[in-house]
Amino acid sequence: MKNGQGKILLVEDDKFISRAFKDGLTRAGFEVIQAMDGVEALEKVKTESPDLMLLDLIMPTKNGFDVLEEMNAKNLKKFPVVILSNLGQELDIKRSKELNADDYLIKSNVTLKEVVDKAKSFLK
Amino acid sequence: MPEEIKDENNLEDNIKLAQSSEPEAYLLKILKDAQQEKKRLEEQKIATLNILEDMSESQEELRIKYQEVKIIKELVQRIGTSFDPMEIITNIAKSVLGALPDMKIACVNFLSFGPNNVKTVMFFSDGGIGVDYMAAVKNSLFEFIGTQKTLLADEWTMKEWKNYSNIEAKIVMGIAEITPSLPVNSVNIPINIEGLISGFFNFSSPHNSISDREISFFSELLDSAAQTVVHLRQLVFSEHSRLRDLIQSMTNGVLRFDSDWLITAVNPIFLKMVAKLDVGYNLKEFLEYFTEQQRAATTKELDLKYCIEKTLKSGRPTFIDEVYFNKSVFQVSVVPVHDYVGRVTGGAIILHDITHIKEIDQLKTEFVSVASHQLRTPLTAIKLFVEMLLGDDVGPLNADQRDYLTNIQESSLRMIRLVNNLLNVSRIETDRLKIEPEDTDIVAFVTQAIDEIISLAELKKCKIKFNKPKLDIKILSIDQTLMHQVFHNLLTNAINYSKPSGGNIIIEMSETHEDVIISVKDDGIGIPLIAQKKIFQKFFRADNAAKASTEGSGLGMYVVKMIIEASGGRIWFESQENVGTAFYVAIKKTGMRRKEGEKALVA
Repeated sequence: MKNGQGKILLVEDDKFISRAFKDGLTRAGFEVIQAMDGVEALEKVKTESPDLMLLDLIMPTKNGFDVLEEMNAKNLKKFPVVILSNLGQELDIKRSKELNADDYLIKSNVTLKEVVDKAKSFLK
Repeated sequence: MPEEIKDENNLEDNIKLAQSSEPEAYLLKILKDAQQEKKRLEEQKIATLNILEDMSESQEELRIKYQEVKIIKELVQRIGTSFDPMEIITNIAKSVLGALPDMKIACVNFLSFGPNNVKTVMFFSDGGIGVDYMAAVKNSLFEFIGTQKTLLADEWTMKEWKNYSNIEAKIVMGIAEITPSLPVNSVNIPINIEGLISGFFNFSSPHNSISDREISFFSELLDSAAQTVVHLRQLVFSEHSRLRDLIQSMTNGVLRFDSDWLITAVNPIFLKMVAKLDVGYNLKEFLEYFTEQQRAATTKELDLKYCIEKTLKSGRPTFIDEVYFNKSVFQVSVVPVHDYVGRVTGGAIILHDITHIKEIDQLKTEFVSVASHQLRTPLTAIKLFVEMLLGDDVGPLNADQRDYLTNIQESSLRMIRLVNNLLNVSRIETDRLKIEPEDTDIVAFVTQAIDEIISLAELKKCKIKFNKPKLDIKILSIDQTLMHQVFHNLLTNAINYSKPSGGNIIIEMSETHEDVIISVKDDGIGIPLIAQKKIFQKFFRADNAAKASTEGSGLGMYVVKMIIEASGGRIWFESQENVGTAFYVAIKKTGMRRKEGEKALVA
């Protein structure tokens, strides 16, 4: 597996899932910044200027849709955003696309390898 | 004693006379005695005859009385169930004619109307009745009515009654006769109900004079009839007010209507439920209001008018589960109301407020949804960590470690599938599932579903063969997500329940005039006969299936059936234990039925 490069902002409120993705992505060669809720995510978008964002939808403080909305409004979305959520309803997917998300993965369905591959495809 | 003494004296006299020298006097005396004796006997005989005659007369009287009582009793029984004046009159006439076939009976009644509201004099006869006869009876009847001072239970004035030549005569029972005959005499008796005269009867005979005892019998008969009607009215009135009290105090909304679609009763709860102060008398007008309000509340419209028509026609109740109206959810029942002989005379709409139950149901659904989401999060974490371990990301594993971790991975994947299935069941059951058919190349679609499962098939040594059909119809309108779930479940079942040595699965497609039928046949373990009835039940697993594959949740076929039936298709199967199973899915060529909803399935 050829190692990837780039800074990924991983927004995930469940610490176990966050840890798993962080470890997997780090081993694949990415630099991973963690944010545990929506407010923290928006802060780190500004301070860390990531190359890719993996964004959960259901979170405390601000949910993923709120984060996307604010990024759009404040012109902060200068990198691709991949939704990584357990919400898999068409409406959720549609709404994410309307809010300029670039891709959508359903957490319980994907393997770690698929997430890594997705990150690589965006950060070639 | 003095008689005896006298007799003795007499005997002594006779002996004296016999011994005397005057035999003529003696003979005369004997003759005189004999005559007296004969007279006495004669008198005795007459007295006896008189007694006998009296006896037979009272026997006859008893017999007639008995007959009369029998007639009255029968009449009362017949009237006992009727409110129809015409029926009561006919019953009275029949009762009299049954006992006295010679009689002719006429009746005018203020309560029953003929065609076009015209009053008629009705005639009842066991045989024929002539025009002249009818005219004579009518005369007698109306002359009598003219003399009556009691109030009439009718709006008609006496003046109109006097102008009786316009009133029609009609034979209700009997035949018109040409031979002229006239009543010998006739008797007119008023029908008196609760102090008001509601009509008159005329009894007459062309052959015999009406006797006093017959007159008193007729009066008694009419009195009994009138009393029965009064009693019946009181009974019905008290029954009616009891029923009204009951309806008023009910916690369900009740609206009663008759067969002419007129509203006859409505309780306060009903008015509150439909947000109206008054519903008026016209049921159809109310239904228009109801439909209008309903359109505002929901897209699911209920044709209440059709339900009422159905109930009135069939005499059976109609139940509608969920009706959204006025910010509430109701269960609506339309029930028929029968009269004493079982005829449908109208019905009732009953509203049962189930808003609260629906709210609880909604909470339950939300709970399932949230719980499933919460369950999936830790499962996802387990899955990810195991994946890294098995990928040797943190160093090589020995064979036992790898084996254990593989078991953990399989269990967590199975748990995720189970949670997903539960979520789907909850969506289907709460009717929130949406069905969005789109034109699909059906052969390509099935091919793709097979391709996705081929690795599982190989693992279980199963060969899948798709006999590509030559169908006239190539494009079918289906909901791809739902149909994918259907084929996925059917195919995984065919593979999982194959025999340990492996199996052959054949997929075929055919078409009928209306449907496209897709079949999935296997030569697996089959469904035992006793399990065949339950195969589509939620959480059901046949014993042999549970033994062959411990993984199943018993939800797969349930979900399949729910999807197919919700979209207007059909599903059935043929199976024999240890031989194999064939499932058939029929989808209408017009496509799956579209259904609005908020949720799709969890893949």
